[in-house]
Amino acid sequence: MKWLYIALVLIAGCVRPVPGPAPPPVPPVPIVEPITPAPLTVVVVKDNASLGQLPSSQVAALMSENIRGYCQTHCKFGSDGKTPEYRSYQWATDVSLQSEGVRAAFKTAVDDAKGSRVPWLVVNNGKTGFSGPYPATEAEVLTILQRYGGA
Amino acid sequence: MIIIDESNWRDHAGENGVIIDPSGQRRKAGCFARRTPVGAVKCAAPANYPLIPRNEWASRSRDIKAARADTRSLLKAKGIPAFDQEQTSTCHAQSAALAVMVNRARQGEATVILSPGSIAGPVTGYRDEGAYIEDDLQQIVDHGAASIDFVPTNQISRRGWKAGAEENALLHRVTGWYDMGPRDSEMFARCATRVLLGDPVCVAYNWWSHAVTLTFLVEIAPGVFAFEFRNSWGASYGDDGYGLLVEGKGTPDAAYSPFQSTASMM
Repeated sequence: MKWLYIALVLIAGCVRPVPGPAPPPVPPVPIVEPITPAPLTVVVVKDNASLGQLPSSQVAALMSENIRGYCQTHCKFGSDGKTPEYRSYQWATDVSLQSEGVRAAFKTAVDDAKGSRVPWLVVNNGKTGFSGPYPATEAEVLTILQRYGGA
Repeated sequence: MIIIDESNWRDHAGENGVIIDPSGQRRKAGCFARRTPVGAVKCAAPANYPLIPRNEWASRSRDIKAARADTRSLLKAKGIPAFDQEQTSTCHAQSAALAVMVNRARQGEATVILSPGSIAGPVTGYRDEGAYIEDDLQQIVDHGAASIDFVPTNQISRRGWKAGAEENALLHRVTGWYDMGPRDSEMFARCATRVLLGDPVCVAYNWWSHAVTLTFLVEIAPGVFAFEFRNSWGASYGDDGYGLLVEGKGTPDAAYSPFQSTASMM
């Protein structure tokens, strides 16, 4: 048994591993500029008629008091100095009387949604922002808002 | 909390155009439910949206309440007080004005307390009379509702309107209403769907000769649902102006819900 063990060790030592395919090159890690939180413009665009088909958590997130409260303290104010730039509109709303920031965010939603009628969220802090389908939960929305607007 | 159901509705109903409210105050009846056939109200779209299934009502109601996303929480956060129509017949306009304010609040527009008098006056020829809600809706679509800074809350006559009231009212128009009628087996479900999505519903009850605004749906016992409504009889009515109308007597004879208001400038 001892000789068999020694023979196996010797054979194993003679076997060279077959070289496999080269590992894929590691992509360079992009340098991510840290986001500097700044006052936000937040626009939600939705289709009122189909809201009843959304999950309950998403409907609650669309109307959430916590999100409204966050926007009250982290959004830019309108020309009256007290109304935050946080809007929730139908897709076919005429926003021509709104501020430049709200108009731009609304246009971003319309352009990015490409005809989709799922609820859409646009967050803009003046330098960078988010545009995408409205998340399914309040927590996810708050995470996005805090990323661009700070805690 | 005031709960109106099949067993006690007569205690709340009026007679000969007068309703005695729970505090003993005489209130004028002021609303006729419907004049125009369903589908023919010029300013309203048919309520052909998908209904939230009844077996989801209780859980959705709980979820929304837990997130303080219901209309009552919104009105409280915005500091929008209960209307008091006092000795006028303007419940039709009070109901509509509150619905517009809720819709504007949902959109994130600046908080403006709107004057029911600025709606009721033109609709009734500036007389203290009852009216059909559909006429108030058309007035709001065409001309809007002015701030109480321009027209006092219950000012019906033209006297007392400040200069610029008409221009101010144009900033507070509704551009889309749902007509939820007729009062059939799905009327309650159509209204329930809207309030569970955060939209107010202006309703009229023939038995009450009165109009109020539905704000939410609550399950008061297993499988038993009631609309939370805000009345226009001041904050002393019920719980800060709110009461409950249980399915059955709470199913309205006419109902309309705004889904879009003017995106007005700050």
